[in-house]
Amino acid sequence: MASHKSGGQSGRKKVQVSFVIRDEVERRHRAGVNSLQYDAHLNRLYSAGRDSIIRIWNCKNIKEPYTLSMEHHTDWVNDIVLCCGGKNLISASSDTTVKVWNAHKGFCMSTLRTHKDYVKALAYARDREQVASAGLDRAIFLWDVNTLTALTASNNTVTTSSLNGNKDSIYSLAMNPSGTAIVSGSTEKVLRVWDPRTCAKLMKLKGHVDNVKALVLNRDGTQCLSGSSDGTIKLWSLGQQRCITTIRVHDEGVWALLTTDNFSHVISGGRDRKIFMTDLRIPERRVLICEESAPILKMVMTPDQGSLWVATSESCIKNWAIPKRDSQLGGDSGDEEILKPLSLKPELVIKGGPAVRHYHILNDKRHILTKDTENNVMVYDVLKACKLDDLGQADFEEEVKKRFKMVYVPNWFNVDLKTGMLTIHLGQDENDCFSAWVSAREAGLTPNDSVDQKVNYGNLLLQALLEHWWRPIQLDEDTECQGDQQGTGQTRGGNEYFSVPGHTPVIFSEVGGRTLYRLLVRDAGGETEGVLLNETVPPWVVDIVVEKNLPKFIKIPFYLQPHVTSGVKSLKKDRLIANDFIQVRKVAEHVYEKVLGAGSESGSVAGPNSPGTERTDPERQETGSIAEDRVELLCNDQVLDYNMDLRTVRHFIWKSSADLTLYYRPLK
Amino acid sequence: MTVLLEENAAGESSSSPPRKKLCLSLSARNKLVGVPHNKAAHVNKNNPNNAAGNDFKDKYSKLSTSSTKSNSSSDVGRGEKAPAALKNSEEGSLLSVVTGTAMLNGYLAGDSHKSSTDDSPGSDTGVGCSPVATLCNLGNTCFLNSVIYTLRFAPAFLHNLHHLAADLGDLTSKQQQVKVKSSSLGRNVTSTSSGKSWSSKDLLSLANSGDPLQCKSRIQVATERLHDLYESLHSAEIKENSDPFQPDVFLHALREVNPIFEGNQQHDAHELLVCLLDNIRETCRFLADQQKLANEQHMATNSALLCDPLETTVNLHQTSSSNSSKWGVRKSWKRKKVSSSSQKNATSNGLPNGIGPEHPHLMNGGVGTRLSAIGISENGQSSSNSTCPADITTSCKSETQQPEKSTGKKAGVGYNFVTNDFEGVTVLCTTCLECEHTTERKETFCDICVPIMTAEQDSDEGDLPQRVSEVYQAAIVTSENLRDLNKYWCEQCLRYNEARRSVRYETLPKLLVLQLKRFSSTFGSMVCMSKVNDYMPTPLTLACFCEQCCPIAEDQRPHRYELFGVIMHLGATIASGHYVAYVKASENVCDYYHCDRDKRKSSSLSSASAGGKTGSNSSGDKMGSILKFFRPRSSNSNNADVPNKQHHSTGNGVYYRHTCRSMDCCGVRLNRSLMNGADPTIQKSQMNGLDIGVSVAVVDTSVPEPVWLECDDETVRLLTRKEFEDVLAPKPSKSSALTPYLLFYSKCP
Repeated sequence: MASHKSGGQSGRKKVQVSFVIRDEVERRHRAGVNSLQYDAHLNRLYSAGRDSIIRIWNCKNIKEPYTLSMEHHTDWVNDIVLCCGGKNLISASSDTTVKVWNAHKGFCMSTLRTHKDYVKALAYARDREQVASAGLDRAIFLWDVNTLTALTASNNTVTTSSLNGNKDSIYSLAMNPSGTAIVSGSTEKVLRVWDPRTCAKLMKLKGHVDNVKALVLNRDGTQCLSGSSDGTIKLWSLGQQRCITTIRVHDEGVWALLTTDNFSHVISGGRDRKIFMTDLRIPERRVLICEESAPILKMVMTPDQGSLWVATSESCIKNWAIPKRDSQLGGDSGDEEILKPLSLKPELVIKGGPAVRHYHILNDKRHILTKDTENNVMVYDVLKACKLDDLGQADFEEEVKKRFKMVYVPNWFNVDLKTGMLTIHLGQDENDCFSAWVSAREAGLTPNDSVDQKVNYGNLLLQALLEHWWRPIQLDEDTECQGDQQGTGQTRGGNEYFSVPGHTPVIFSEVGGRTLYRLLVRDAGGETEGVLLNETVPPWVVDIVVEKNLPKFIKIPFYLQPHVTSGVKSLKKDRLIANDFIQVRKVAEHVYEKVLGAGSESGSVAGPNSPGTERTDPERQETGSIAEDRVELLCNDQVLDYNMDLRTVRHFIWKSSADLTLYYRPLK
Repeated sequence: MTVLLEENAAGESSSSPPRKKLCLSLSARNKLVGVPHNKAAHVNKNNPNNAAGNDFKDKYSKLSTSSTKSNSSSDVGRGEKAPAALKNSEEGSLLSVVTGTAMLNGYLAGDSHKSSTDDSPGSDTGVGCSPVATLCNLGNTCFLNSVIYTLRFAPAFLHNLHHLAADLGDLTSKQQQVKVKSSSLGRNVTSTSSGKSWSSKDLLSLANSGDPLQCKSRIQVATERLHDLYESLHSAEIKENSDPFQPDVFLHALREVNPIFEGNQQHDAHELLVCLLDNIRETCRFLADQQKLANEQHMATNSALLCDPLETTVNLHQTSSSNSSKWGVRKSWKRKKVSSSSQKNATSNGLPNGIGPEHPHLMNGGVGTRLSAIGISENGQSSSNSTCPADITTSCKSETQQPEKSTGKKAGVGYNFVTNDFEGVTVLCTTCLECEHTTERKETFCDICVPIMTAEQDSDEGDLPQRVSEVYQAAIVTSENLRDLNKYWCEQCLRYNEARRSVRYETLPKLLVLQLKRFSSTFGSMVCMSKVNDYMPTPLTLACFCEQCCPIAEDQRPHRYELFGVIMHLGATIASGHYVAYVKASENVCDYYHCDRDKRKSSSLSSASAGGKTGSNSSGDKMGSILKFFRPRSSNSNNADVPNKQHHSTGNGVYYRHTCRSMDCCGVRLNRSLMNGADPTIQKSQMNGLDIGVSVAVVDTSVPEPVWLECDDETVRLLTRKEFEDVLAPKPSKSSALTPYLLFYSKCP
């Protein structure tokens, strides 16, 4: 199994550069929804998406509910809480950060980086404006919201207390409104209870036999409801420190719990996609509210308690009616009845978008074909960070086959689909992002008749992503020139061929780990952004973007020998080395001139080691075309096309990891 | 054992560290203090060029002969060899010293082992000093000996091996018959009158110039040699010959199959066990394929004349798993058949060997064969393109579909008893903690590697069996969390998430082999493996931990396992050491009851007289004809050897229970005199006083007190259960550095 490794041992971890290819505004969730919060005053629904975006929906305008996107996280947003009467929102994400937002305007105010692993759950004590965060790093941190919201760039330290004692990864957290008790659920299967005021451990509640993913505390913190992956819901008395009732209504894990105000009924949902409402005092009385289309992750009730919004692992959010409490609760007749859902259709639906589930990188290592959950096939251009084509409901495999080209370009990036959108990570180590040298002409970057230039994809892309970045340290130019005003031919950043969309998010993160900084391409010129970029951008990027040093060529060693049928006898086996992108015809030329001794020896005949530019020396061209008529090259007994480059030959024809061997044969 | 060693040390004049050319088992005794030394070999035994070695060998055999004459326990044999070996060069003085110390040591040994040997009256009386036939160390071959000893006492193993060898013999003889019938070269193959049966044989004779043995694969040969080995041990027991048997023929055959065992290096007993079982498994598969072939041919002959040769050819091809180059002969024949059939039908149907006649001059023959399609098929089976798996898979993780294919009916030809008895199924289960999607992967296994868990030391001696079983269960049925930097890539979530990975055992085999993980890699300046000497209890009864049983309370589980063998490793390091096998002494008579496969082979077996005989299979037993003339001494009145039929005496009457004759070929025959008092069957019959002139075996319904054998190369001695438990205990009374390495359990009920 692949493992989730991080680079580097000590604090010096490698920094990775990534970006997301997406539309400027993504009005719909592109993957599942992990959490919901309802603002009763404004009738807004906040939803935390697996596409890393928190969206605000206007529930009064169900035709066009989309209000705003709050984008700053780079990985799944696992939980959100609305604080301060709806003014602020706290979010927890798998990018290991907790963020504080202005909920009305929708911008991120601060980021808390105390967690070392995915932050999975938040808990909120309304009366004390206290929030707790917990995650897979077994840590629970307590935050004072008012302090958090008062953070500024200058006053940016906050003290937090932490609750100790968890032995395993925490998946759920709950606090009562008065903040007198906090309970955590984890893979330890045991619920742990503390007093958040004193951070004192209170008790452990044993009983579940699997992970606990949902928790609810009652108002005064005397009772707790827990939902576990073992399929049961347990009602605990904290006073007696024991389980009072076990409710078995679900066949699979219970992942979401909701209670009515007076803690009389529990509404539960989970992996079996069913939502039940059960009377806590008489657990046999239960009703199947509905059956969703995907496993249920979270539920919130509307203020009138008449309906609930349900978030699932699919991207649309549905609203289902809650039955009136006293009536319609079945279960009296016996437990063997098959319950029918009370509602077959949701009251309201906030539509979601498709998530990209499959991808195929074409051989040119520039275009990607994707297929999403709605079976739409798209074509993306990684180099330009944009979508090229929407092929609709095409046949994915067929489209891939159609676009096959016998060309080899080294891998220089990785694709990540965890957010349902295309995230591209520029390669490190094995997939060196500077390994893709391509002819500019073939890449379509320059007109066909111009001098052929070799370009490096990674190089171009990094320059484009940081196009707007001005390093204030460089004082030799006009330092007052701000980021947005670069049109006057004084562009310092960017490459000479293209730009990427300005809304493209660029992410700097530790390899296999925490996000360091995220910004949009067009914002890189700002002052604060510039400062942060100065801190975050790794030296290997600075080298390319600022110093404008070219990356090195990739060279291929190979052997050159006469073919057995050639009749030429050669005792030694020539070992040569050349750039991986040189074409076979160049080798033919070399054979013609050097080995067979023909052709002009005038001056500096460019051997296979020349950098990019091809000489337009007419003599050279003549030699070149003569060479093609006089010499042919073979690999594995296959005659090679003169246009093919060495790396393509090695990948498609030679196929072995041993050194490439080419054979030449004079033509009659 | 400690005491014995000290005695020896006192007896030697030099306390030099044992030299390289020492017999393994002997040097073990000198190595008690844990000084690692290289186990050297009785190289001389195998190397006739070494004159000195020969002398030594002669003396050695003299010594062992002399030891049998003395009325002492097998310890004598042990004792006397030690000084002999040490004084390799001083052969002149050897004998006297030896003889002198022999007697001394014999008695002293008796003293030191008073507790153990006093109980067994065989130590002072009776002929034969060993409870069972013994094996000689050929030079670091204790790994081989210990495995051979252990397998010998594995329930049903000998019985099944015998039938396998017998079936192989049948197959070979049938092939031989076919060859015999075929006449001279150059016969006119196109004549159709007699073409039916002759032409194909002509082809055979043309194609097959060697004798059948050439056609046998090395694996097959190795398996047959193993059976021969057990036969020889049986013969030795019948003759009450206490010379240690040299398993060199078998070793040679094994080396042909697995060249890693060449040379005189030490090897891992587990590795050998795996090789052996693999060889047998492959042989069973081969046989099953042959049988299937034969069945198909048989069906083909019975069907209409117009049966499609293509079809049968296809069948033939499908059953051959691999074409090894040494089957060049066969292959050509096969190719020709393909060509003939492909000529008939223009379409190719994916036959592996494709087109083109190999032997153009046989084209006419091709025509002939085509006409006599049935003929081909009929005779094809005997000389068919038998499968010859040339590759040895040392790993036991076979595809799960194989067992079904080759098992066939329970006790038929090609019954794969390795698969049936030794293989279990393990399930590796991974659950993503986010989406809770579970992926399972099933694998078959032949043995389980158990990590050493340093159990908490209880104040009282001897853990309760339940707790020990728990230790094993905890070590084997494991589960881990994939988290932190080791997260799991979930295909559903398309990301790294935490996951729980667990190992469960769906089915556990009848014969369960546990390998204790006594090697650990330590990463210092370089990677090196070191031996883990920590104590791990060896329960005599182990609770079953299969999926069914795990949730049930231990004492109520439907299955449990009883220990029948342990291979212990003596040595401080991995690099060198010595193996000793401990087995539960049993003739496993129950295995031989009601055997469907026992058939009288008129041609091969010697006459079945009520007297002593050893059954021989078609491959020929060297001893068979000789032993026909021997009658074993009847030691105690009621203990004649076991003929085919046994009396089962009940209170009401006497009736015969049919026992498979294989018991007389290669079964275990314990030395009754030594077992006296320990073997319940003997005891009971003595007590009953039944003396009806035939042997009586009373099937005892109560649980007999098991007796254990400590098999240390050529030295086998009896241990009572308590003594054995002592050996297994964390602080054995004779503090030996033996650590259990391979544990062998059999399932009860």
